[in-house]
Amino acid sequence: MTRILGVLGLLAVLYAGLWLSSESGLSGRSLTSLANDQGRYGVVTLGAALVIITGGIDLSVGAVVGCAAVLFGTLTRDGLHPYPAALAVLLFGAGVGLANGLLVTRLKLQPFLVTLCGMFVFRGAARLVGTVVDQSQVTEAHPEFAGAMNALTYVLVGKDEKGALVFPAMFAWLLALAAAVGFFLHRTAYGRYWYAIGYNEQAARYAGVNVDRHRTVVYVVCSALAALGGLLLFLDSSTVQADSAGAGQELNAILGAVLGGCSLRGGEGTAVGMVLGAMVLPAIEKLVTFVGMGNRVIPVVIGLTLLIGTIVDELIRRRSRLRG
Amino acid sequence: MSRLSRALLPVALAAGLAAVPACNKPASGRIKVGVVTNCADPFWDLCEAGANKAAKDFDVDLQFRQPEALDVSRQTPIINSFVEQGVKGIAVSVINPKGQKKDLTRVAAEVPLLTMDNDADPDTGRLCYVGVDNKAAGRAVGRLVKRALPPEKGGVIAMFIGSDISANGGARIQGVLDELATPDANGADATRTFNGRDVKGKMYGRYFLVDGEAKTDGGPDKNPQQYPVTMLERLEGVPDVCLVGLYAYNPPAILSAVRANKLVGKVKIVGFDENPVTLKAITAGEIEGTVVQDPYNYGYKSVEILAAVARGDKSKLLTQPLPYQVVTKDGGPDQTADGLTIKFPKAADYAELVRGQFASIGKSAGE
Amino acid sequence: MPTPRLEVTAARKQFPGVLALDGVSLILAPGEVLAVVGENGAGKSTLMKVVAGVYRPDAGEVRLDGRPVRFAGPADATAAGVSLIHQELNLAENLSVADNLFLGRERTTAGPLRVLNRRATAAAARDLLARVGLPADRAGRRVEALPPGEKQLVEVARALGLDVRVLIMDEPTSSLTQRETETLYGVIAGLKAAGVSVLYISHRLAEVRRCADRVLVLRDGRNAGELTGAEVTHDNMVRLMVGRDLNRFYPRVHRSGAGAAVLEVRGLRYAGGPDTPASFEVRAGEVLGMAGLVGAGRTELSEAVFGVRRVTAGEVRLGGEPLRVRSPADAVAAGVLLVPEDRRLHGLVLEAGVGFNLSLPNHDRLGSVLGVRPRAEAELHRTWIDRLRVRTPSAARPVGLLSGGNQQKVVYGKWLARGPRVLILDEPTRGVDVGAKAEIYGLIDELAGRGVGVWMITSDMEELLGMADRVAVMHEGRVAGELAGPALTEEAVMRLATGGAAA
Repeated sequence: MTRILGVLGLLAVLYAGLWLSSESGLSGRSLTSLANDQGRYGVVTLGAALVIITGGIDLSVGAVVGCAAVLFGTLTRDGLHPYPAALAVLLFGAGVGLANGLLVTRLKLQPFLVTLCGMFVFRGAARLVGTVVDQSQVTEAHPEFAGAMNALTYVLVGKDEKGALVFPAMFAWLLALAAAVGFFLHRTAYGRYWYAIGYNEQAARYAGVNVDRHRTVVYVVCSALAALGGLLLFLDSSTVQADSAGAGQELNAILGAVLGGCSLRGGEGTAVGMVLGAMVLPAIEKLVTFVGMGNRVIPVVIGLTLLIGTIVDELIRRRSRLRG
Repeated sequence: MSRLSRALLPVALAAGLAAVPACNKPASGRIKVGVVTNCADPFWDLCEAGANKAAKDFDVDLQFRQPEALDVSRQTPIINSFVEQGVKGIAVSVINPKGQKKDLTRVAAEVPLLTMDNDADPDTGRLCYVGVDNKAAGRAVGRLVKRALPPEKGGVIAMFIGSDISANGGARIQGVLDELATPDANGADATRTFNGRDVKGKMYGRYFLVDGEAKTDGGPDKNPQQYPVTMLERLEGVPDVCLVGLYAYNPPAILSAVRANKLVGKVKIVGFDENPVTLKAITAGEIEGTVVQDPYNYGYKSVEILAAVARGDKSKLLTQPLPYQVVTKDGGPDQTADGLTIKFPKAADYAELVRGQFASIGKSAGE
Repeated sequence: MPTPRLEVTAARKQFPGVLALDGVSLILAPGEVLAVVGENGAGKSTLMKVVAGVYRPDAGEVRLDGRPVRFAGPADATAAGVSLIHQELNLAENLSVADNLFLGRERTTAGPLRVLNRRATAAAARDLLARVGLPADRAGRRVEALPPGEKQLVEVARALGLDVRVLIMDEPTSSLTQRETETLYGVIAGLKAAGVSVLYISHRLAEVRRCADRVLVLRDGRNAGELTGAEVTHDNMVRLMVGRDLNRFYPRVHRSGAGAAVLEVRGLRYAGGPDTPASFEVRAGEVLGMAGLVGAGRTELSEAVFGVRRVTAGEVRLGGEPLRVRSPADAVAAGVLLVPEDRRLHGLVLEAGVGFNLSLPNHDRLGSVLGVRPRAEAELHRTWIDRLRVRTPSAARPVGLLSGGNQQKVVYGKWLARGPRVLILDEPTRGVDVGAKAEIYGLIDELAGRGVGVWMITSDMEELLGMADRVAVMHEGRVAGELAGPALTEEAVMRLATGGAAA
């Protein structure tokens, strides 16, 4: 509980700020679009957080997001129907995760290094697959896909055929996925094993847990969620650029996970915390726009807000520990 | 520890709240307009200076945002939150006209929208385009190239640009090539041998375009210096080379690469836009010249038009492109092209003007 | 009587919910060795930490050479000549022995650069190592490469380097071999002769009897009594410690003779192991003791059987069937379970709760892998916490906060819940207090009585002779000989362990 008090407080301050900053700051419309952004961030954060819980790290997330987005655009533009294309993209993500997992567990390589290399490889792969993709390219090349594309967009992103946001579908997906993650993490043996691996891999191994397999599974989940994030990115944005789509998402995801109570040492974290942690950065970004802050101060304000949030969080945690 | 935390906690919370100027709630009745650029660059600082001036002159609240990266997914959320805040007008430098068409159409249906610097499809319902005719500006660049390497002899050219998918990028490149091309040599494939290696390219007139395309670097945040550096390594010892930089940050990047290889004067440079480094180098004779768009005017005009439209006055909408200017070391008399009066200011004079514009937003003209 | 070196009067220390010290007093003369014994939770560690400046007493007084002292912290105490050697080693494993000996007071050049003076460091390190009987070549080795016993001696050497006047040793021999323990006795005798006073905490009452001048027994945070000279006997100490007689410390109540071999190890070799193959068997219903010097390869052998180390030759048979173990998961599935030597590293997830640890290897019995049945899990926790008398306020308590004995019981509990066929115990009572030891011995006897094959690796001679039905002695990677019945004596074990032939 105390693990999420800090992030709850930070979110409360941010939403209060939104309310104060503009008459429309907390309008249904702006909350909906904020929630949708949070959803897209959150889906990716969930996977990264799971890896962190098992004591690993995945820096390839952002590149996988970008690569998946470009891949989906290119596949559909070149004539693959959107539904199988979506499935293919998720499988691509799972494949990336499998590769990461096997490299980490079989060759005993450092996750940091493996996934950093992955970051370059998949960013490059995205550029090889295509430079810029957008929905108009797809529907121009294949007008027959328009229906499926619109349906996917509506169901996954919550936007109608005109691109207007109808409901925060991505946030709904985040909640659904977080519920699933929470179930596995807190109610099943899988979760126990992941926590145990994160706390003390040796003890888990000696207890007969198949540590390598579980680690690999978690990397697969992480990269598949990143690929889903890429799919959402493509459907949500009007244009996806291979060189920048998803760039920095790996750090945003790690940030969300840590704000939500995951420890980079592993073994700590809750599904609720992951959702809350992922909600912070989009809220800050929304807030600085609403406040009309100058471009040059925005990065500083974002950094300081996160830092202050972290300090408050740590203080609350220490106090509760002293009392406990 | 506990005393420290007791002291820090309220301080931290207060600081968090203070980061949110509560006083920013707009006074009711005041018109608010938003401007969003395609990326962050000194070019856009000049635009911001003009926009600020116009906001003051026409009594509106202005939000001016430069997204950190040349990326639609950074720009779209800013446009959306402008709409959510209920601004009365939006000016956008469009990044991908095709891809963004749907979104911009939706926005234009709700809020007066104009495009600046980079146009969108007029079908989006945008009010008008504030900017130069990039193809014509590209032709002016082509004329500068011809001045550096006379067309009878031609030479080897390489072009650098942030993106060739944006309307302005594509048009600028096309303008340069159109100007250089002759009816018998307009993009014909060719191969030349530099330093023992075959290099493919295309011929425009007597000019050999290395690799047959402009090199795109993705934006100022993506280490644009590496492209001219690599190019110079490939062209080592080749005579009659002219490097052309078509986005504001490209000419300085090219210049530093040329300086690093001690090729100043041997390799010609033609630029675009008024980066202070570019202007200074023109005065010093290191760069042949540059074609400028006067971004200060973009900002000023955009806000002026949006303010007027918000008050119901549509008379200020532009019907034709703004004129570009050609900056060279010695300047020259005005000329007329495509029905516009084109100025030829001296680099030193123009640098002074730019310095003043930077100063008005509290920035020194970084050199 | 001369001024005591150290005098503690009516020390009191309250922790949230626990009164750890309730008026403990002690007197330590110059050049005296005082052993402090007591069950875990009796207040020994707290008392030591009060003396060493880690804790400040709530009431009472500490006098050093007659002057009252109030240490602000351990550094303060060290400066005054009071050094504590922790039970959990406090060495920087990634640095060399010499670096550790002088950590924080490096021999450097004068001036702000503080360039390390390698030659002076090496010379001083050799000197200190010689005083604890370690070869000089150890100075340059990384600490992590040393066997646990040598690490302990490095700790002692470090304290010697600090011009110590009162040396506090908390379970110094828990990871030492017989030979290293002897060396340590020599070091202590040398310190004594040099006028250093030693506070010596140990669970091994035989050692206390050998090296202490006097014994102070603590119980529930109070002085339970003091023993001097001939009074220092095993029975007296145990009686004072637990407040009652322990009539049978090493029980053989349930065992009724060994059955057929349940675990057969035939010519086993493993990756990174010695060239000599190892062969032996564990029979159902017996406790097979395995003795040997540190480095004889006992732990490594058990790890190979358990699937931690890759087997390269030979075979393991379980109940007559060949057993292929590629990972601990295979061993666990087959019912071959290991209570590892280092429970904090390999045995437990310290940060997680008692229940979490008990459940960890048992999830296949707690409902499908898709969902844990909360009721079955709570039942499992209750059963084993009760049956093993784990002293914990709840199943959610992080196991790292329990005493060593209770931690060890949790390790047993997680395996007993599975029902072992073969239970491998590597140093089964290391760092465990007397009361919990007795309980664990009872448990081992009971398990063997139920037909489990118990393979007990131990360096504690009392434990070995007291518990084992049969003893296999390892020397340099192979089983040098087996002893049972009247042939099973301390001398016979030592002879085999040091490379001699069986008598």
